[in-house]
Amino acid sequence: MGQFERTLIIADKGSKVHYIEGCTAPQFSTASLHSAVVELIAMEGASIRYTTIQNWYRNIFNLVTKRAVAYKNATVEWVDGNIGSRLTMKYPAIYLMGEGARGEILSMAFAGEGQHQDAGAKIIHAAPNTTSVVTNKSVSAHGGKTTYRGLVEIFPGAVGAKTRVKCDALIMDEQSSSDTKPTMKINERRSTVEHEASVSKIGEEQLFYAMSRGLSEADATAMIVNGFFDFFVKELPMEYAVELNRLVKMEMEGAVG
Amino acid sequence: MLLCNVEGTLYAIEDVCTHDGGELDQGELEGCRIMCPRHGAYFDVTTGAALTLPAILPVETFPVRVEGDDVWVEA
Repeated sequence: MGQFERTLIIADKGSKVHYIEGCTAPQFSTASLHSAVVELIAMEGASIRYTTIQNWYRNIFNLVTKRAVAYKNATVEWVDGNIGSRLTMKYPAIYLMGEGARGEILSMAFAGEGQHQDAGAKIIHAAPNTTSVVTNKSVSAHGGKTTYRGLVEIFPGAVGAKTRVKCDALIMDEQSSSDTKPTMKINERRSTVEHEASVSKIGEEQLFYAMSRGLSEADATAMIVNGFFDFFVKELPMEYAVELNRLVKMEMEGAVG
Repeated sequence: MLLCNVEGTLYAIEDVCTHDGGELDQGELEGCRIMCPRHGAYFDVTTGAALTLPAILPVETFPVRVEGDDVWVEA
């Protein structure tokens, strides 16, 4: 069973569009494939935000190509949530082709038992005074595996380009793992590049504090993980935010370790 | 190096796609545009300009001189 889809959004000059999708599937008895291509073109001054919450069933292979082009003074934002599927490979990309173009990629991933979330971001600065921000946070629990694969490339002539990448990983137990593979190809000296990454487990003090206020360990853990994802959840429409918090809490059950 | 015949005029470009570093010689020449066979990037062989993504940087061009049956390229 396979699903192959293609989405193309072209935002004309000065226009604005926010596209939201929630991906889910019933349980199939055999492994299935979801392979999709999403292309966004933001013309001069346009703004496109594309939000995805992916919660495919656990035996679905999810391979996605997402690529956007932002022209002069345009903005493209990928808001990418990954909770389901057995394997997700998805690296939303933004090509900043016009002066003043801006790109932002917010991505979150939760990998539970038997899951591998291989997500990331690609930003290409091919024009002057372009800016980009990448924020990626992932949690792995119950033996799950998360990978961040990122690329920031600044071409010669992209004077004044500014980019900031932040990727944080939370590993809940000894069976789970996380890999971070960022790449930066900087070919323009007159640019500003920032990168920070962290990997941690839940702080004992945070957990102790929450539990001393009457929360069970499970509830405290779920609350802390939801807080970790707050940067992402607050960008979602209300119904999606509530649903995502609930899904994360469900995934966290039994994750205390 | 790649020699291209555009309606009787010869142009020479470096046989390298600036997107992935592979060769362009198996690509189709449509008028003055050559398409990279691997990912579809187009280059203008008369100027070297990259016309479509995924190529961004232009490809190098070389002056061509034709004398009788001889073609001279300055590289």
